[in-house]
Amino acid sequence: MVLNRSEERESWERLEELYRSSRDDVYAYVFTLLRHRAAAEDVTALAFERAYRRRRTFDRQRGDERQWLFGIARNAALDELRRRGRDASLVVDLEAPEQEPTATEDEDDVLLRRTAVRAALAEMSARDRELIALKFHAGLSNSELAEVLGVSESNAGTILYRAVQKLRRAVNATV
Amino acid sequence: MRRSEDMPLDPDMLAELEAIDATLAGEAVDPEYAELAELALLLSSERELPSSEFVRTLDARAARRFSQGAPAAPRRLGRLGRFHITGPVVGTALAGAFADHGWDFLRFADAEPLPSPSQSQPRQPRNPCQDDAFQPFHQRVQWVRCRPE
Repeated sequence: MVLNRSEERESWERLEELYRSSRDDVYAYVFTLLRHRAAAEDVTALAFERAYRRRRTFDRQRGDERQWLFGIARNAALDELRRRGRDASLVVDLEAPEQEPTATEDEDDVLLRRTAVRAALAEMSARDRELIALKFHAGLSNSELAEVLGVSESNAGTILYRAVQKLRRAVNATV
Repeated sequence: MRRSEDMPLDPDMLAELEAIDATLAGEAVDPEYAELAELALLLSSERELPSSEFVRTLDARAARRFSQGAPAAPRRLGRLGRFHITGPVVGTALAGAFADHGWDFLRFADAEPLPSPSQSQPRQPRNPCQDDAFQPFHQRVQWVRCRPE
């Protein structure tokens, strides 16, 4: 596809806007998947690099730019997970979540539930954790989520619902 | 037979998903979904933000990338318009040089020789961070090396 000068400029502006609006969301999504700060930084940067290189291949008819970008970020994160699978020693590099500051008695219940949520998230399958990350950390709508995962919107709703139910049961069993 | 993924969502399921969306949008939900709303808020509060150092570095690299690749804004002056500006400027400079040096300003024989390659400033080593602005991030070693000073 050959773009004329003004189209080329417009595509650059859109990419820059996409970077500004999605940088933190991409990082949050990737971090939840990888649970490792340095790896999440690398994969976030790699996702934007790939988006930059592939900007001409973006097809607006197949979805909006945000879905396109999250598809790229997803593949980059999966590459990283596969790489870790081959090199098991990297898996021990998981970071423990930061300790909460000392809480007052009134906040104890919230802290307890928060801890339970973290534990339940850590126990989830990669697939379920990804759903949670796309919905609650990247802020994708169900239709965007469906596009990224390559499933129908109703299927995306169903699997998201099931993932939330699993999380709910796990948290309630702990608290 | 219809595939399960094409089936419409169960109304209870749909109501819970809508309650989650409403919670994330900061809207009130029916008390029936209070526990679900709390879980949704707890989950979204677990969202990890990038460090300010990473953001600063990535932003700088993105800005460099965009400035390298984006085509310049279209020029407002056509060829004739540019001539109208450059013509008088060049003419004025030539007239000034003639007034100072007469026809000598056209002679190059007495001019300072250009420095030989050995005399010239050493060539600056290529900065790998400038060419592939995002690229070094995926290798941690290079990422450290390319951090701004």
